[in-house]
Amino acid sequence: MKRITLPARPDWRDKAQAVGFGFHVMYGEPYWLDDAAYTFTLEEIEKQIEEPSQELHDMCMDLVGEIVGSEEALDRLAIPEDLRDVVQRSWQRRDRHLYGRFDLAYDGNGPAKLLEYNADTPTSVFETAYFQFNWLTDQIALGVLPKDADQYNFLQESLVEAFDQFPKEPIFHFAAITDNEEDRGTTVYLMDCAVQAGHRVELLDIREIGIDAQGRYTDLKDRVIDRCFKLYPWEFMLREPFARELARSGDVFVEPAWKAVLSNKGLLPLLWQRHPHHPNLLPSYFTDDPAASALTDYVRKPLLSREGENVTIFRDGREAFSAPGDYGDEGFVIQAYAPLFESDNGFAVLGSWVAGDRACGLAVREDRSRITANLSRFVPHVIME
Amino acid sequence: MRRRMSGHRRPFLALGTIAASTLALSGCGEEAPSDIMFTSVDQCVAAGMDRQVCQASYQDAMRAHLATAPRFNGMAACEAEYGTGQCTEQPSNAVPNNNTGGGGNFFVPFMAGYVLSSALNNIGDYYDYRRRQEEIGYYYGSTPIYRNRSGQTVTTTVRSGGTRIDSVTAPSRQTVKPVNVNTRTVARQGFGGRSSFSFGG
Repeated sequence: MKRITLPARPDWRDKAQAVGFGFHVMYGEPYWLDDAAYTFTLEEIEKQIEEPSQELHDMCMDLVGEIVGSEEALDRLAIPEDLRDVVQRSWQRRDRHLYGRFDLAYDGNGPAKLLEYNADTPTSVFETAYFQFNWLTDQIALGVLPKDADQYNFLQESLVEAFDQFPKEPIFHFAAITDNEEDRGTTVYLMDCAVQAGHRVELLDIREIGIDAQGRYTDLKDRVIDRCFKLYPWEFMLREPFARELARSGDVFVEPAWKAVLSNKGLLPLLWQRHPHHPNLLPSYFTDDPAASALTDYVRKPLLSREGENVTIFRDGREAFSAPGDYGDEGFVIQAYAPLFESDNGFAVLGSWVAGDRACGLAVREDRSRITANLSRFVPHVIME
Repeated sequence: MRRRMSGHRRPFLALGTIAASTLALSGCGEEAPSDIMFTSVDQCVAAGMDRQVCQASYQDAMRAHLATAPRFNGMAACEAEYGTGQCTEQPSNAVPNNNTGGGGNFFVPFMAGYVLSSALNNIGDYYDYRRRQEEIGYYYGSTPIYRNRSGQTVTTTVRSGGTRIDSVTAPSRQTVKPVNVNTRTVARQGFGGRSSFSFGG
């Protein structure tokens, strides 16, 4: 694994504009880097990223049944008591899921380590599947990259395949906070994949979802919603006014409710308990576990944090870095510290994608801070021997 | 030759852009509402139809059945068409507007279910539907269905002139669940309360 710089495509801003990729600059900062790349060998990709990601996903899927069957585990994950049925039944019905992204610490030495599983509302999917791939083929065509340059990326076709598994009769609704450009762009990209799989689709704001007298969710045309992708976290949905209708109509949502147990940092200690010393796992504990006190270099993460909020890094037992935020009420986990790939440009985290049940692509994000946050940059990757 | 990771085709955007602000991409126009068959009121309700519509249409189908079910003078003749154990004896006085003139009992197939349109969302819609049916010559709102001896589902309709029309309906339709049923929204904004930032991770 290396970081390289190379000439940007001269017309990449026009290309971004043409496909509606407006968030290549976010909050005044560059988000997409066209003139840099992370390089990997095929061996690194296959043995250190793809195979471990597939194994981690399979381990997670094996664990879901155990978690939803245990009141103690559901307590640990702060799943609201009155809605556990919704989560349990979604798993018993095997409600179909779409995608997820592992965040991995990997610096080219030793096995990649799982930092968390964004199994509910992962973003950067358009950048990974579409824009990054076009960057590769353009750079090859321009002679900047060699002809045999490759990329670990079959994310778009895997998403289309995953969408193809859902029944086509009902309209596939897509709900997000639509006034957020990144969330809307991500959602519309997923709609595009659904259209390619033969679905009829419709976008609405998550706040526009209604209910009828029978407790069914409805769209703006007063039609019952039979299937709805939502780029909005389960941990919020379970605690909002319409949660009471989930018992009747919760099966319409994608990701399904059982993803609430995988997108939760409490997954990390549960995985470690089940697979102690697994090469791709970091020692992880709930804060009341005496074993946690043995760690001196560790990270404290809220069960439900996003965008790196309220994450604190401890070195030699002392607080070294921390990120602000509004999370933490539900509790924390402690995870052994793992170094990220570090260069003059900051720290890189690998995002390893799963679509359906298949590990299928890579996204690299880079940040000045050791805690990857919402303002981190997306850097394309390339496989070169 | 080493494995090629990236796909052979460049990814494309079917919609051309991800900048859509107001998208209504329900494909090629609205689908026509389809007829759906139910074997019981409970099955109708479970399929997501309005309960009052399910009940009223069942009662109408039963009225239509009593008045217009195919009639046979003997059990054997009825079973020959509808199968063993699929017929019942019906006293002639159970039939409304019975003008067969005091004759003996007759034999009719059991009603296997009823058909109604997936466009019926509430009892008001249903009464409209029944009125329109009456205008074009049907006596009753919803239609009873029967199962013939080879298992096919048959609908029988009688026009005002007394003409009976039997038609076979595809069996697969029995399992079709209505999708995106029209309804009335009673509340919104029950999700999305925490809308301050991006929720992707």
